[in-house]
Amino acid sequence: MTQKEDHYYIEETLHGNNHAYEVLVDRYKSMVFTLAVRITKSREDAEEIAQDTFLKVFKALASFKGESKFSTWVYKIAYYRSLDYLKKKKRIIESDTVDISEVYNLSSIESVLEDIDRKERLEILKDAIQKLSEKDSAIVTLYYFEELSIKEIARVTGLTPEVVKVRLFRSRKQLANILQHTLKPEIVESYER
Amino acid sequence: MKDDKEKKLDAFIKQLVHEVALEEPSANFTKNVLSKIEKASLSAKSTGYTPLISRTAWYILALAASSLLIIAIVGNVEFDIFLKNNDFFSRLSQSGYRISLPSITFSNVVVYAALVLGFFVYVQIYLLKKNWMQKKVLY
Repeated sequence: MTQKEDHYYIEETLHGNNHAYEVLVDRYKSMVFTLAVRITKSREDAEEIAQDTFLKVFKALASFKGESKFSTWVYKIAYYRSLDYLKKKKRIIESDTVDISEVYNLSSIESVLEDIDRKERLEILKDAIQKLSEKDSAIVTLYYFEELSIKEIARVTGLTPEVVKVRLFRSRKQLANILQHTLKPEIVESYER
Repeated sequence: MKDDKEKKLDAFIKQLVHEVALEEPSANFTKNVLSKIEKASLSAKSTGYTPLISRTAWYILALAASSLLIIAIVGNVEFDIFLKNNDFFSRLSQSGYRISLPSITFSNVVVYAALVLGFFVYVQIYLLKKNWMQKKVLY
């Protein structure tokens, strides 16, 4: 998925070929939708936001100058649309009391997770990511799944690279602590065995 | 030791996020987006932006204004036909009514300062509009 390929489809779309835009939507819809889900914590709202994002991208396509990657530009629009949506609904919850203490035991979390069947494990992991703050769960997804650099994430979120780094550091610890807390009964059980 | 722990945690979170993978939108997501685009472009066509004064009208106005200016500067045209043929003003001045407008004089410095201020206000409007349009595109 190169930038060159994106550029071709962008040009085609600008020349009135809507099928070319269909390719771009198919290419980025999952990531845009995931970002919206992570931020709004609701699949229904996320579906609407993701659709609006692509409508907005289409309308503003002529103004895309190609200074950054097309994907980064799309994610930025999705990120802000989602936050705006939350602002409108007054649902922004920025937790100040983030637990970043290192009380977790990674190896026991890993071994307990291995023993749980796949479906249940997926639910636990999804829940843990969703428990992060809106911004943090988006940043974690962009960094670990999309493998964007810290600089690129800073461009998407409008935060400084230093703040992105700190948020990632905190999110890692927080995720481990959430998992430790969720799996506490299983971990205790495994110790007793 | 601490670095090692951090690296392990980093690898673990990476694996975790990959396992969770991306959320998939509804099956007819792309179709819905395209129909929204079609609807939006149709309504844009029917209620599209049309300037109050068209481009051609602006050209004609500019031409008229500049030709008037040129005639005023270069040409030797009698503008007071109306005033000469009609003695309304002379009668008015004789009738005793006086329209006394206050005469205010400005020094050159004040006039230049006002002109420069006006110029910068226009520059600011242009810059603000550009900035606002950029923001509008982003969000």
